[in-house]
Amino acid sequence: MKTRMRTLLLSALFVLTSIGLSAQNLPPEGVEAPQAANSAAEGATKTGSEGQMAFGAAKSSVRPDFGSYVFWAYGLTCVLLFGFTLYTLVQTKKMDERAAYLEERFSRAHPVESTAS
Amino acid sequence: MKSKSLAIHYTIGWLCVIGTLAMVGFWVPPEEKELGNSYLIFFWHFPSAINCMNIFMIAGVNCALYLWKGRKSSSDLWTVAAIEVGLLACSVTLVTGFIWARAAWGEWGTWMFADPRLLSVYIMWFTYAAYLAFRGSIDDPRKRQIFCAAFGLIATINVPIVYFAIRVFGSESHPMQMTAKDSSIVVTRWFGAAAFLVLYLAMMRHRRRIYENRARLDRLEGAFSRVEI
Repeated sequence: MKTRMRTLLLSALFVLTSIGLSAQNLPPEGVEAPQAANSAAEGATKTGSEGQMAFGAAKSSVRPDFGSYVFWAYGLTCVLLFGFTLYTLVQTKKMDERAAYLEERFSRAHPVESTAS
Repeated sequence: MKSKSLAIHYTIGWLCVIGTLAMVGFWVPPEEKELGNSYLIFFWHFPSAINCMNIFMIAGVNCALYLWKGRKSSSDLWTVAAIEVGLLACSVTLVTGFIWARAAWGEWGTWMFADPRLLSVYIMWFTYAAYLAFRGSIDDPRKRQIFCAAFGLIATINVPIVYFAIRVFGSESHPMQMTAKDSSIVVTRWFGAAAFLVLYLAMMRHRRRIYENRARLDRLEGAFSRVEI
């Protein structure tokens, strides 16, 4: 129960943070005007009924720098994946310890039953 | 033996993900003609998106197996492990999607009915979050397994809807298909999808092991209480 709630809370935290930032309508960091790219980006992403998007390398660097966005996207993904992995590892260790402790206690208290089982 | 194979699985998964990162850093073009360098987010957004659907489908298959093939608790354990990891993948998809949307469209996401795929992903996220809450609310293990299998099976209906949302309900922001002339983009995209799948499967195995251990603990505590009585 505790595990599930923590996983749920962790996921909810990131979603709610994004929603909160959206509500604040903060200006983008390190980018002069991302909206300037919007009209061009619309051509690639808001594709109407075609539903297709074709990627192609840029001939020259004329777009605004979205490096900070890329950094945050990759960074948050790493935090989520690492966090989940570490949390699972810690939980496994604690559970193994608890099981070993109970088994040992059980075998000390009832040696006949534990050997029979 | 089991721990060793899991550790190897994890290591391969992480190495593959780091490999994807290296390909993004050193191989693919640094900028796309329309989206600039914000398109690099795609290489982590797409693998999580495709794999969250894959993993939720695995959960659905296990729910069906549980209901129709002898109600084995192993299927139930795989289901809950898959849903936890799928929810993580779905969260990664949403987080990277929000950030990419901010860079490309100037907003954190097109809300609700404006984009059928986004709406269906929100519904999917909340449905599976509800599954975990629902699972925690039932004490009787047998009842919990049956009700959760039914819930999981119904929740799986939304997964193909997410995939075909654009084709069925019309396209707004998300494209149905993506093409690229550059082979580095294509290879990195699919290598990334495979890498994340390996990692997510390792996580699934690990989560399943935790639930297995929890069942073992419950049995031990049950044995204690019986002896003490």
